[in-house]
Amino acid sequence: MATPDEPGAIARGASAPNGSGRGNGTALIEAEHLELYFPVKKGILVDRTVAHVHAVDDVSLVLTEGETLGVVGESGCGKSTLARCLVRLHEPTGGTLRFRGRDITKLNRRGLQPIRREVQMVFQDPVSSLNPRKRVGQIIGVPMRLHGVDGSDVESRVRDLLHRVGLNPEHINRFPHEFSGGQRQRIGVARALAVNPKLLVLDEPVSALDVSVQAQVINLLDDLQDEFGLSYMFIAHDLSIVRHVSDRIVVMYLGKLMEVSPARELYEKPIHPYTQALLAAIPIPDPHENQARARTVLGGEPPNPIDPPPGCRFHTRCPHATEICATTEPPLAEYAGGHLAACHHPQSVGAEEIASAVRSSLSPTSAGDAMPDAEAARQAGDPAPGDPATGRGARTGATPPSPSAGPGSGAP
Amino acid sequence: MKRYARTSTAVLLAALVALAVAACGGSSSKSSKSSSSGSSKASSAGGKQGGTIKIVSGTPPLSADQGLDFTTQGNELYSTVNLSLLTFTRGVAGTAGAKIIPGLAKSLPKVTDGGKTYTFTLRPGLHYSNGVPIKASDVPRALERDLKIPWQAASFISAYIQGGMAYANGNAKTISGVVANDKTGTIAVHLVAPFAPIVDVFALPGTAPVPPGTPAKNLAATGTVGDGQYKWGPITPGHSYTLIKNPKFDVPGLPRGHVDQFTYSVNTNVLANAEAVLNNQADVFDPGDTLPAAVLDKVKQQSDRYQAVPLNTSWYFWFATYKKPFNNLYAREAVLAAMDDRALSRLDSGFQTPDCHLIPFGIVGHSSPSSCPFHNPNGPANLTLAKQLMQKSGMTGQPVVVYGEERAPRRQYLDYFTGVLNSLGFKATEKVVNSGVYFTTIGAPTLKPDVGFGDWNQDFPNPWDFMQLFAGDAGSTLNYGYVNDPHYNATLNKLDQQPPDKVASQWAALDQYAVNHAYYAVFGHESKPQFYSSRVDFAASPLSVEYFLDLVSMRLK
Amino acid sequence: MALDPAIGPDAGSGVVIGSDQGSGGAWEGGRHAPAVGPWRLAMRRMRRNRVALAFLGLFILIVVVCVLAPVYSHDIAQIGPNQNNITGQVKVGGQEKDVVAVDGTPIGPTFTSHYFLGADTNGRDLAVRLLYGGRTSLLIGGVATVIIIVLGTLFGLLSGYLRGVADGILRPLMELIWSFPPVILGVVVGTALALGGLGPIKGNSVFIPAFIIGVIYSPYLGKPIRGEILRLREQDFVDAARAQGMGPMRIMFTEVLPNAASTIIVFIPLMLAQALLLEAYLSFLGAGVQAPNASWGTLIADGLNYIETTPTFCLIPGIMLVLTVLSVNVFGDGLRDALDPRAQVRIKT
Repeated sequence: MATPDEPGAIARGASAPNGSGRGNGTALIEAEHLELYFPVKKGILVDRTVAHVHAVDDVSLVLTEGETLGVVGESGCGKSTLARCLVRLHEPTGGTLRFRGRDITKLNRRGLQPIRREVQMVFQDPVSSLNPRKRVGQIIGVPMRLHGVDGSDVESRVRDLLHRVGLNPEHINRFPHEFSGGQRQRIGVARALAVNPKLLVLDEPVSALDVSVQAQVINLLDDLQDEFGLSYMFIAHDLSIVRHVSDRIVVMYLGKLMEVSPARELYEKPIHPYTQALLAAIPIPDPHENQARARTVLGGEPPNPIDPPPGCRFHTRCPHATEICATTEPPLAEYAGGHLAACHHPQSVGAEEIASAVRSSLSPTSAGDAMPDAEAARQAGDPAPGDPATGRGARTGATPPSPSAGPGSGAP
Repeated sequence: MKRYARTSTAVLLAALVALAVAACGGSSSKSSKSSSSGSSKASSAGGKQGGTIKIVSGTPPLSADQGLDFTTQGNELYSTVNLSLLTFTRGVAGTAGAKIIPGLAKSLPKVTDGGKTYTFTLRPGLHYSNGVPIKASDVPRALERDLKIPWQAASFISAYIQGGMAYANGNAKTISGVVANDKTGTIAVHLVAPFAPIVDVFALPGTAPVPPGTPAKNLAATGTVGDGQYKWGPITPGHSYTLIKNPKFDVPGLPRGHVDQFTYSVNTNVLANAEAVLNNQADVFDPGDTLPAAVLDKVKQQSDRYQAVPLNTSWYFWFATYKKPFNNLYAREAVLAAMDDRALSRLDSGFQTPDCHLIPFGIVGHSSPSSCPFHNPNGPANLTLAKQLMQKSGMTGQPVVVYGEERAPRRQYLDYFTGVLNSLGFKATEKVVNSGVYFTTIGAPTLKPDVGFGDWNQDFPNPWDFMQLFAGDAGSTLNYGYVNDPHYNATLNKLDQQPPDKVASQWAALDQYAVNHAYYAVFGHESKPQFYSSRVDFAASPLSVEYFLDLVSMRLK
Repeated sequence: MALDPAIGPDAGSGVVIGSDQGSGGAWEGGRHAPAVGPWRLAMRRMRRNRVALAFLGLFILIVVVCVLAPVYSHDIAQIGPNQNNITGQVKVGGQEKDVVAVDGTPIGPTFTSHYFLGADTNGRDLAVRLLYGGRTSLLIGGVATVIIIVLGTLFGLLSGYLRGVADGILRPLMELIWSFPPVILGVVVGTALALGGLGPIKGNSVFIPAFIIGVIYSPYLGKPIRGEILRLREQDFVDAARAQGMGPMRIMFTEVLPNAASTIIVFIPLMLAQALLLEAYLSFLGAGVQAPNASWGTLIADGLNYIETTPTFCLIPGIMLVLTVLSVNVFGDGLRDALDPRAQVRIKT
């Protein structure tokens, strides 16, 4: 798959999306101020809701037809929840979800049926996502039958799908436990493809696999995308995988969008300090280089999502945080090249870029109007666009490295 | 009226026996003699005075309060605490041993007004155990208390004494038919109609006077303050009861008791109770309980401290005579012919004396078993006759439900009787009911059972007490088969106006009439176990037909 | 994205031992035995467990003997199970003896065709009653187990999968039943129902105790099944089914239930053993099988009266009960070992 040469024009807003790379610009799925709070219940006889987990908190994004949207963030940042909201496995508690412009937020099971056919999901755990009591043929055949494929056709189509995903069609009668992890994930993909969907939501599809097998599965996904004209929402917890597959990348932290950017630009010019930290955590194959680089290491744990910090969610761990970060939630500021970031102290951008940034319509409703201060950035010195892979351009030493904070913990 | 007694059958049966003892004394002229002889015997006898006796029982009394309870277990205890105007002789063994004698009254009552008025005169100078003097007006107060609580046998008062029903229904402030005069010490009782068994009622502890200020509610945890040979010690209702000798007791002619203290412990494990007595860890096995078969052999070997004592009981099956199949005389007769009383006796470990008559041996009006019409009680069943009768009845194949109690040997009787019905050609099924609720269950007006088991211990030694079980016109709730024979009813109402000895043969004729009509299938009269530890003076402590355990007579070696 | 194409597709030849395969299932599946399902694997493990199979044989033997009770009754003992014979006599060693003595003591074991194990108080043949009683006990145990499985599974499935209102109603209901000691609850309900019956079922029907036992023990299955369902419903394959648009009922019965099936099957012998025991308790206490019908429980109760003189009266039905429960339990253990992958290790070593 070719990495897009130039960043496409980013979406100007939810209503006028514009994909990059392969995207043809038609919005497939749109989330507007999507919100999912899980109630925390307590009580001996009668459960009372005592708090909420802010799993997805006012997230707006657009996925256009044909593109691959990567979603990254630490564990627990809400990216999987977001994915499950998009396929309506979770009911959002607020906001709107549109599919091809149609509001599907409140559709019931019957009403969702045609949309189910177009949006399918591949799960992270290849063991638990396949029913151990069913044969492969049943697992892949059931969705076909559910969506009205004639019974006699099912078997030949299942064999065909097995072949397409690189499995032996003769294994149609085997049980999941007779396959390896990579093979099982291929079965999961075949199941998702069984009803000819338009969009696959891939929830960390390779993170449970060996590294060598990861590559095979990703190559398979890449091939299938071309073959079937699929859109992908690709979720991962580190940037090294998504970098290869995504046209655009969304960075999430504690249920909020931190940064949205065309894939290459995110790696070359991370604006949000959190993105910088994530990039710095990518291990480098050469141990000397890995040890040598200076890096931003995040201290502490992510805050409790039941009681998220006010202002910028990241300010408790951010090396650049100032007073405003603790009080005012930054809006998503749109920089040149369709690059959005929610930060009062953007990195890797010059004062002019800051000055020309505008408030994106994807900003959370609770965000303030305070755009980043270009003057302050100018006085602080014009930071050169950083090379995130080596950590240059990121401020170092703001937080002392903690021994457990990452793969490079032995570095001075 | 004994319907209440049925609630816990065994208990009641025991009470009835106790009453029977008392009632035996009912004939007025004899009673004073026998009482004096009884008392002199008691006081003159040697043997040990004092000590403590431990009684073990499988069933608790309903209450220690004689104003509520009418069970044999309770009667054994509070008959020593609450002495009535009349009482029964004590210390005499056997069915003939219980006669009615004066208690608090100077003598047996004077009967006037054609048998409708009974006048008692209180002995002077009597006191309760707490020292309060006994007054004539305490008697109507006790009767009113009985109706308020109410006493399990309250219908003796409400049905036969003038104004009793009005008081029981709350329509009167006093029982108008009972007039007491504290100055003269007389109590006049006016009856609705002549009713000879009323003298027996005034020998029951439930009619004993209570001191002024005794609350009209069930005093289960303390019992009442009484006037008898003993007074209540500590009580744990349902578990243990203590009686302590009343040193102030002094009624001329009545025994004063020998033992200082009785403890009465309830343990539902009757087998454990029997073994405790066997091993001399307890002194008395309550005769209201059945000796378990598991220890029967061993117990029987203790001939110096065990014997089976025939008491006034009748065990029978009753029939629903108003509906198919037992509205058919031949069908009922067939059942009587097919019953093998010897088999039934074996089921009760030989404790039954076979007979077909309702009035037991110890009561006037009893007929000899030789007059049983359909089969010889001491021989095999007459199956030939039974089959003929069954064929005549045309009831073959009729479904019947047989009701019976769970408690041994009653369930075995039920199994046997159902087998008899099935062998005759009925389609009989059993229904075993928990013993605690058996009689209230089959007595419920909605149930209308076909046929079932019944047993009866005397309340007092009067044939009326048994024959009234099948009284149809009065609507006795004990008449589970709703027998309603005009001749039977009329005869019963005539005979109950006379002292029983005077009309003994007529009572016997009435019993025979009912047997000939197969209104009931009596199969025997049960004996009770007299079983003590070796500490107790066995010969001097006989079972009483009225009281079962006669605590006042009981003494240690 | 072109990542490391050198490795190529991993589909390979067919059977791959993945590092994530906890059980030896794939290994046992073998190269030449395609599609070895979990059930077949369990059957194989079961066949290797000789002890469990031996006890299964014992159990089947007991069942067969009890089912043949009418044959014994009719052709050998020549007396019905409920036929009284109190004043009858029986020939033992050339002597005529009373079946029930005048003092009510029944005859002990004669070891002849008549009254082989002796008589009860009513002169009924104990050997005949033992077999008929076994039939009754096993019938009640079996019916009760079916009720337990159906109710428990429904309870667990509805409560665990649907949660919400269904759980709000069913879980407290299960807890309520569960919180009573089974024997006490059984005696209370049994006594009440024996009198009035239950709808069209008469009070003396053996289905009353079966029903009571079934209801009382259903939470003992329902609670673990609910836990199992709660675990299963969080599995991704359930989400996958939902994402495909499958309805909740269909997911419950076609996706979730088959995965709980081995747990349910493991419970069947355990519950059967419990049901047999509770039936014996209830009948012993008079709240189970109603007279004149016998069960092992009522026979033990009847025999208790003669425990000091003729202990065989209550020992023999007791031994039958113990043997039956033991055989069911040992077989049940084997079944659990066969169905529970962890047990495989234990058997092999």
